[in-house]
Amino acid sequence: MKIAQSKLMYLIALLVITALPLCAQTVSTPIVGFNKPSFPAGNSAHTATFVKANVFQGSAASRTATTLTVSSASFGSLAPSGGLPTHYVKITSGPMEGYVLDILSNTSTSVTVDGNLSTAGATPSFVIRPHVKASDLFAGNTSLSPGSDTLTLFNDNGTSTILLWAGSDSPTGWIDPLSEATQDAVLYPGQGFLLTSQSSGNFTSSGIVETSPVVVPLYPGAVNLVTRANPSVDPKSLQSINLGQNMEPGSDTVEFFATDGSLASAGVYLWAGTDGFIDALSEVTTTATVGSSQVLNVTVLQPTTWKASPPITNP
Amino acid sequence: MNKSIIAILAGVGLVASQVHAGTITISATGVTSSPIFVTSTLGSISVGTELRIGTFLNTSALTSTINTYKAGVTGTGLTLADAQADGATKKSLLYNQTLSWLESASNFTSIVSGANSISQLGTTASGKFLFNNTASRTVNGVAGTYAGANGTIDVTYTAYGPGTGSQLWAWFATGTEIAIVTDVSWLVPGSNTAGLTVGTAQLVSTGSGNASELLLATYTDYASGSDLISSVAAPVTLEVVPEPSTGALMLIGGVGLVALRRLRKV
Repeated sequence: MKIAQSKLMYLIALLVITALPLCAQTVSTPIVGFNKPSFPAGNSAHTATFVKANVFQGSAASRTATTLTVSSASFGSLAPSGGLPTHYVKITSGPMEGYVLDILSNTSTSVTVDGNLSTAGATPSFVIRPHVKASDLFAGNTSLSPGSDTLTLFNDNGTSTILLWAGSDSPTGWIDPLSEATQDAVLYPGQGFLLTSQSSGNFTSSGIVETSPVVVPLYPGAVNLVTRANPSVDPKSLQSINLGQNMEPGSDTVEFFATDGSLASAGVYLWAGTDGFIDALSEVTTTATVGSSQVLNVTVLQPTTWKASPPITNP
Repeated sequence: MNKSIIAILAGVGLVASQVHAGTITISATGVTSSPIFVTSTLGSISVGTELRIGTFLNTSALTSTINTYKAGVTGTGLTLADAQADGATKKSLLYNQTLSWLESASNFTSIVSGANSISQLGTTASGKFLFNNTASRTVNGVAGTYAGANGTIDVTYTAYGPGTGSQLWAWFATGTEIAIVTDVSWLVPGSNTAGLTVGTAQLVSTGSGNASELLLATYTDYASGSDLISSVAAPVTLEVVPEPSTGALMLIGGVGLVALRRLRKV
């Protein structure tokens, strides 16, 4: 019995010694998951809380103002399809960390993006991911009413893009309300969308949890629906989410929406610089909190950006 | 920044936050097997016919107007042909009177004519929303070509005359027939960011039309494919009135017969 006991202790010690080097290595696996946001009848604002898995992760060996080159890469087709970008580059280091740029074309070792990389540093690290699209969130959805419910995305020039739900009559579930042709839309990281529905229901968002900051563009003269896009229940103070950092004091505002289907304004807060966000009417510094996937409407007078923190960060 | 300066500037921000407009999506083409607007003979509406969308300012007056239209007219004449002609004239008059009432700015405010912009493909007209295209739709297993109205209008709801929360109606007139429909969900949103759909898909309730929403229309429910919502023609009742001279002759004849019977008795 004593011999057996010492053998067991030896075995445990051996396992611990064997495991030690493993602990010293950094093993990083993406956190995957899904959630099922609900929506009321009427108007409501939502977001895709997950992103799709990286198809590439690494550093550029070189870059130009619009291309990133990775000598050792062997990229497959990343080009737009059906009039929509299929993949995007997200810069994960350097001065342009968090920027999301559509891929316009690619070779096996380089990608050309829709945007300016001039300030991205010499060899920025980046990831390439497929875009999340409207069809991804609502595939097979039975809550929406065909021919009636719509999804609205607000564009940078003040216009909007409307998708009409057609259910099984469309491969993507959506059609263009003007041409009635099959339609889909890209849902950019940190971007909110408007759902107008006859009845209440829900949809499914799934994928991986974002682990690096996202730079969300804010356009003047446009409805900027933005969100923290955090799949966990984690409300934060409006003052703490960095939203005001690039906003213009005394003019730029953020609006909260009611969630009862009316989309009525539930508070407008003015960016007051060092005073933070203040209630636009009472001028009292607000203690409003922003839900993990709550969508806000930001109004700005000049083009700017919001660098949103990710739900989690890699160690 | 000084809060008082911010307060002055706040107005700028608030104004900036209210400049955007909402979008009303109109879908009345029978897409996704939703109902199709047709005439009373179940034929296609003509492309170019205007689909009016807006608010009737007095619903009881609207009901009265619709009831008068539904009651129809009586065509009278000495002969059937005369009665038919008279009926047609009176029917046309009633149609025009009803149309005039529906179009009057005193009774109806169009949300289309006050829109910031209108987006439609096919046949279009400035400031109007039309039955703009035709499409092949299957109705009860039979494919046919029907005109439909679809597109979007950009509206600043808060600037809409009747106000946010107002009920919207959709109606059209074919030249001889009229259809007026609404849906409980067709309320002008209170938020300029919100969307709204005015569509025939909403004019069904568990497989059949909600009669209260089809104020002047007839719903034909089929087992498969699109259902039909047809416009209504004012009914005409015919009354043939004999000529007075003919009546007089009959009276004389009758008197003669009575006299003859009396003579025989004597």
